[in-house]
Amino acid sequence: MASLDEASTRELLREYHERGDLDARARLIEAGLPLVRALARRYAGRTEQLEDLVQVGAIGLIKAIDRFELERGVALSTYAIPTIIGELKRHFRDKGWAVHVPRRLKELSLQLTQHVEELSGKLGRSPTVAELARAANADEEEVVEALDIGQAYSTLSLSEVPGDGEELDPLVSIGELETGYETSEDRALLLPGFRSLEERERRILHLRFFGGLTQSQIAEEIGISQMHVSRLIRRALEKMREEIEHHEPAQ
Amino acid sequence: MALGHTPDLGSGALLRNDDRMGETEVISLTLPHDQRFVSVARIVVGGLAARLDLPFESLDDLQLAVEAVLSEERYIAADEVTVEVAVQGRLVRLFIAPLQTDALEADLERDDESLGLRVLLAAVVDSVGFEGRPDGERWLCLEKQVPRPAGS
Repeated sequence: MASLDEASTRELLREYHERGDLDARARLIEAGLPLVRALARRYAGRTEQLEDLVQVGAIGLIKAIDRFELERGVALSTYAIPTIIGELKRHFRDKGWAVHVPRRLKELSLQLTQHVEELSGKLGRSPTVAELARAANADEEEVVEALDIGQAYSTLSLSEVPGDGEELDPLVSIGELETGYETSEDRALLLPGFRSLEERERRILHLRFFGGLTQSQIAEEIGISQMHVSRLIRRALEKMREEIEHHEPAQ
Repeated sequence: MALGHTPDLGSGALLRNDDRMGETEVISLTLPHDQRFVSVARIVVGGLAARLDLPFESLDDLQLAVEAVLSEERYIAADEVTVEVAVQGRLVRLFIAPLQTDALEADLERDDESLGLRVLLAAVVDSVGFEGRPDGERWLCLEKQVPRPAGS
């Protein structure tokens, strides 16, 4: 885990599981919270506060610690990450859409992602709301609302295929120093806020705001949908704002 | 717009007169200064933009512009904030007030490499300025000229 080396983690697990030492359990939970926060951040949006999701993810962490089997010989983080992610996904599945969003709008929002792609391909430009409404057999007002709802629920599946066509492995991506932009001459990417972003988010923001590419062009470049680009831009900007506020409260 | 675009901070004629042909329709929306209402502003702007048959990307740009201003607590000067959306021909103008114009202008004039308000707005709207009103209030004015969708 983050602040404990592997040997210390195993020793604490042993103390907890074999001797019932609750202090050891508490230390393991504390050490795992940065990992929970990193995972929760990927799911945080305008409608789900980061701290709420950290609480949800912490439940997953505790389950992982409690259910861990010492004899399996894997690192606790290897076992904890899917457990935490599972808890976060369950939270969204059980409470997210169902509580806040009418079912009809939820379904329309999902439909629109597909319609935007199809119509963009057919028209050679991004479709208008009227065109989307016709395609989805919905009112324009409903389309506007559903597009906004889609933005609010921009949770990024950790198992979705990123731009390079490879599965994103949380074990690889979390806590690992990303290279590339760090060595770039564009120092903007090293400024506060940008550092909190994932590599793909940095790339998309760079292409949009410094490279002058449109969402459609970025979508083509990265190999994801235009609506996904839109959502990632908004989510990345929110993360930047949050990070800057967190680190520079006086400003 | 290109990187390094400096927003036009003057008031008045930010775009040519022929961009402004037609009757102006204005929708005014006053919201509590609370982050929970930013999405309401987004939906209203989106709804107005839909009337112009904007491509999804342009609509998204306008929503992003409004969100960028309203989401920054230190820009807002009162417990309520008003967003006006004025549609004139193919020109959409967004007015926002009351604002802490000192903080806003400082950010708009910042000549650094950060992805701040200046760079963000430069990418999503055509011009940024302030408009003085008779009551002395200075309104932030964001203008976007929207193309008529080909084949629509």
